[in-house]
Amino acid sequence: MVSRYRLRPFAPTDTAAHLLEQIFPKGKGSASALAGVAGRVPWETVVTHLRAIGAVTLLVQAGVRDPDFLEEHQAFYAKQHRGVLRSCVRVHAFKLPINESLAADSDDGILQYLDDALADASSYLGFVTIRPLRHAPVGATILVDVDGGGSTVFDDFPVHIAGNGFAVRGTPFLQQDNAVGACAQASIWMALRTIRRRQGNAAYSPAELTVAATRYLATDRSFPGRQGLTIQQMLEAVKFAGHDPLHLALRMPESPPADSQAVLCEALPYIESGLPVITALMSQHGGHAVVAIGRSVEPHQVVDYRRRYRDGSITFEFLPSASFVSALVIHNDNSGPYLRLAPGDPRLNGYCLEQTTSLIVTLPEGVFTTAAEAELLATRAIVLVSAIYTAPTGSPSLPLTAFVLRPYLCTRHAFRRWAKGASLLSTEVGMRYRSHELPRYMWVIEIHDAAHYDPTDPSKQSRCGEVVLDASADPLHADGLIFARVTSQLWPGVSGIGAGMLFSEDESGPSVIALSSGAPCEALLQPWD
Amino acid sequence: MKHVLKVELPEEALEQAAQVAQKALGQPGVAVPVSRGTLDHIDTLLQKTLSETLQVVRERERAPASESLKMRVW
Repeated sequence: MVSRYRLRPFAPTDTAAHLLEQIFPKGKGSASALAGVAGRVPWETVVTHLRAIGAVTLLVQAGVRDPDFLEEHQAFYAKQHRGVLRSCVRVHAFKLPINESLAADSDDGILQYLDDALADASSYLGFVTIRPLRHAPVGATILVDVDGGGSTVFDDFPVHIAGNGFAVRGTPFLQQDNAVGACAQASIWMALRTIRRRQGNAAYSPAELTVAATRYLATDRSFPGRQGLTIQQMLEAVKFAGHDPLHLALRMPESPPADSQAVLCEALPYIESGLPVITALMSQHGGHAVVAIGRSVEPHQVVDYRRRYRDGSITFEFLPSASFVSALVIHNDNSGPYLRLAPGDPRLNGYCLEQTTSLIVTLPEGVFTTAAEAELLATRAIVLVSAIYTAPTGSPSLPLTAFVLRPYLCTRHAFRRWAKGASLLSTEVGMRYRSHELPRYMWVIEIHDAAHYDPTDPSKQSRCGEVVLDASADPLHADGLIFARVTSQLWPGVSGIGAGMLFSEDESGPSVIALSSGAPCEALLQPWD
Repeated sequence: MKHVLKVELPEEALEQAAQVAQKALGQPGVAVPVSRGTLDHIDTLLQKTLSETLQVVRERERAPASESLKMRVW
């Protein structure tokens, strides 16, 4: 018998409470008779999510030395008189049913099942770590999102089980234990763990984050850490972990509720860039933090919302891509993974976008231009290229059709790969995009024909141009413009201007190129790859 | 949607911009240099300096920062 593993079907009738009781029978771990059930909500959400992603089999792995819980144990639980187990239980979820002919309670049967599951990479759905804490059982967890769930902040994580190498594409989740850390630490942990591989920084446990946050900005004892952290302490912890925290303060905590579209406009460029956005909320019950990891997009504008920049005789108006977003996808450590943060009434129970007070973005090193600054620089670049492109008409104009601007931070590799794959991109543009010397990170602001823009359909070809900016440039000196491309779809019915124009600026100076083709292209997804 | 806006270029700037665009149109795919003078003319359409405009963005993003920093989340 392989004593570490138990294989069981995940039946539709399995309740969260029943499952937890089977995984951690009473009397194990910190099973205090007084332990409440308030902390069970994340587990209930996890069980609901397991059903939504199609889990039919669970592999229960006992005796897991989870590195994050070991740190929590050492910092807090080991110091308690009452014994608390050091080891966790990990529940792995699979799509593959247990074959009736398999002896699922034998060594051979379990190993055979795992070998069979390995044959289909999509069969593995991720894992949930169950800590021996009855008040806060959900430890480090990575599960796939539902199909079309809208998460954009994720990574591929290798998982080794009995000699088999599985992988899960998801966003790490953790429930606060309300002792070593609160929502602040859990949010930072989820954000940093997701981008750990991509940005190459250290992975800190909630216990280490608590120590880092309170090292120079102590307001109370470090443990128990249930009093949470101030935003300043959170910034300190993010900084300590080797990231550059961008703090976007949208309103003062006591001021009137935020405008939900303004929140989406601020957060979306980073979320589209695959960067987690730690979102501070002020609800009726006080301050809380969640991590935004995606967005729910709609095929049409959710609200009639435009952004305008007025300057001199120019009024530049466009539809932000955020106006096609109905909600943010969040990990909420006190409620569960892959939930929605939508517009709502901030006076009611629960959370909504209007409660947002500030955002913290863990930017990669060397990104000096913010999304808002990039958007502004893009509008100026579009004015410039439009004026030259339409000058032959004798009456130059900005685009005559409604357009959407979609900004995101992009690696040069992802941008070049898009240029290579965009079959309708004119040859001379593709060649320059692929061969031009480019910075590591760029702000790309896609220009889409609003009449055809549909973010729910990635194959939709509505992209009529883009502005490409060096993200490491100082925006104040406006030296970040690399490319600005516009095509004739933005000026329907106007003749004599050709298929499109590319404005380019490099060390040899500014220049323009008339394009041989102006066919619309598709958007670039996953710009961090 | 009401955003059909003319770009009111000064006569000289319009002429320079049209020349550059016509030259480019005549040889698609070939880079045609744009003089700084032409760009400066177009830039005068935007009366606010870049730093003025960026200041608005910066204030929007950071003005209430000092109060927000003290907010506690748990």
